[in-house]
Amino acid sequence: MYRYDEFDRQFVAERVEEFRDQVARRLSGELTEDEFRPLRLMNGVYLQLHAYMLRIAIPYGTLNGRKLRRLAHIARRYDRGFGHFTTRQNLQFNWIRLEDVPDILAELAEVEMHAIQTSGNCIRNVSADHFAGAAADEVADPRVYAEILRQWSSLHPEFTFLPRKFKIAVVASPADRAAIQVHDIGLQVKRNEAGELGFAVWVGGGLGRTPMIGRKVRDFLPEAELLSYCEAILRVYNLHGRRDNKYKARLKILVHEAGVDEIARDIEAEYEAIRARGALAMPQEEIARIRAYFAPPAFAQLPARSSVFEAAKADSRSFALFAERNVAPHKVPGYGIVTISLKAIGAPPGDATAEQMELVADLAERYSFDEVRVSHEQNLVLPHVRLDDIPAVHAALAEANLATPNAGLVTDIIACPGLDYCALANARSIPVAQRIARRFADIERQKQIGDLKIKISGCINACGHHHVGHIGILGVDRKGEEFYQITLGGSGDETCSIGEIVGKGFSSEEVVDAVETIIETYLGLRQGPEETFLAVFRRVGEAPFREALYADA
Amino acid sequence: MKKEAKGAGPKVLTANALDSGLVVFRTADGRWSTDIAEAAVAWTKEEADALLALGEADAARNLVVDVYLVAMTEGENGRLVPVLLREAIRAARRPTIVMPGEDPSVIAA
Repeated sequence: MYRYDEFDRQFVAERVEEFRDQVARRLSGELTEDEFRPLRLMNGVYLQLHAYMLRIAIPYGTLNGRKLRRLAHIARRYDRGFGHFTTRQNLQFNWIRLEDVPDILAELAEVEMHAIQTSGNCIRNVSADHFAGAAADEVADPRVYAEILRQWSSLHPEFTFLPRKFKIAVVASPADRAAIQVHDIGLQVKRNEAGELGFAVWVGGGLGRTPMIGRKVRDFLPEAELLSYCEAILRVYNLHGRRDNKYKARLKILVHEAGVDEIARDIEAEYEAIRARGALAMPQEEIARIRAYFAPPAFAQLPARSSVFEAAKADSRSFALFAERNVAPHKVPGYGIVTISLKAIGAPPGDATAEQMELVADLAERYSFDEVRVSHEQNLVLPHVRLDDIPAVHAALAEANLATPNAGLVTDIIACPGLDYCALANARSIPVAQRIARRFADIERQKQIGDLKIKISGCINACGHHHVGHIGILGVDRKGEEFYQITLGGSGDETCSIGEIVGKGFSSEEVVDAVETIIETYLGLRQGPEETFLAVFRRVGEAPFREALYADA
Repeated sequence: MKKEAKGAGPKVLTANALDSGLVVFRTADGRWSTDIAEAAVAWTKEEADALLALGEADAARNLVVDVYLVAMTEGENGRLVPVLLREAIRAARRPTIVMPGEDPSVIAA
């Protein structure tokens, strides 16, 4: 994991004191709300439905036990004993007092954390594959590049006042577990025929009110050129991005309106100009220095098959289910990647109590080389666990209601905070997720349905990624009533697609039945258990689903 | 999303406390209470305008932020309740769901 150097430490400490002074001046009345709002947003402080909300950056979703324990401490001391993990791999606290924020930021700084660039029109927390460094299919650790981008983009003077927010995601495997094609810049680390590392580059993806899939502008960008090329993209966006209408100010709109060919030409022209002036090529020694922070831990040489793991599967039905869904293949024999579901049936997706955070911190330190990940799907991950140890990890998780064996199943639902917490929301998300989870609580039924991603947003800003849900649910306000519009066939993986609206919306009372109708229709259409919901939708289209949903209309 | 209360009908004035951020309502005696039952009710446009002006003055004095009027309607037992779910959730000072670590009976009650 990256460790702060002297410069980082001093910079974050100074930022805390700067904000402490700004908060004091706001509370004394020296600063007006109009003056203070942009300052608090730059430090991750929003005014939400019930109170101030503090969004804390978790760069590329990587935590260790100490950091997670500190988050638990903050939850308990300054909030209501829990936090909410977001689809940007960050953490939000919902009930923070403004006067406490400077102390909270100081406590975060002690463990090398902060809330900078978790809001505002800047480059946001760079996200990455939550299986980074562990996935069997990756060509390199994408966090090396996410960290380089984080350092480069932190308070970058040219890119601090962009037309709108700007999001970057990095993966390093053919399987896209970070939804890179719905980011302003999506990067896939890959090797060329000569075996050199570089990037496939997508630009102009995004969700929100105008969902767009990114367009590929480079199939192979050499590793050393990453920052210069990103600078060219940002510069084109900063210059040409619309500032007259916040709803049209994202890079995706620029790419859509001008066309990808023109934008690609602009980027390449800007890049050539940067190169002519002596582009910043990332020095190999600097890449190596950052890479060293992400060096693989001291894995033991183990047999690929663990008799302890296999025996536990044979002995315990609950462990067998957990092993089947929540343990992914690790690149090192004898290890597994454990997904900790924050989607217990009936629980708010992505929420974790202070006690749960502390337990996960303990398990990470004891069993996973002190590493924890936050996934954009609002789960936690222990990336490096010996197969021999997974039964013990499972038993400990089960005690804390963290062992629900539903990773990737119908009840592993992404949901934004919705109208229960969010000032922008039009409808509630969490209760819908809870009711769907309860309807499909039977694990055998979930397994029968197979891989299925339901994603729920409480407004068009799409924090719940509904556009890329296999089944997407968007909450809307219709004359004061909550209604839910359903989209089908979305996907945030390497086969990225935006879901299609299937028809008129459903009332809150109707929406769970509608989801069940869709799923029953799928089960009737599939050619076998191996044909997933998404595969069936892509084969047959929306017509049979629409027919089933609106047969009586 | 926030909607300004327009048209006829009773209204109360809400905001967030500057220091805590908590949802508050302006009372008849000029305080800001977290309990909507204590809120002053404006029955006419003139009363609503006057209440809003008082609230904006309090915002200018840095007591509260984000001041606006909330439309109310008669609920069960003849008590006034917010028209919009959003405002009902704010007035309840909690989400409609059981929060992690909470006793589920809080919702049932």
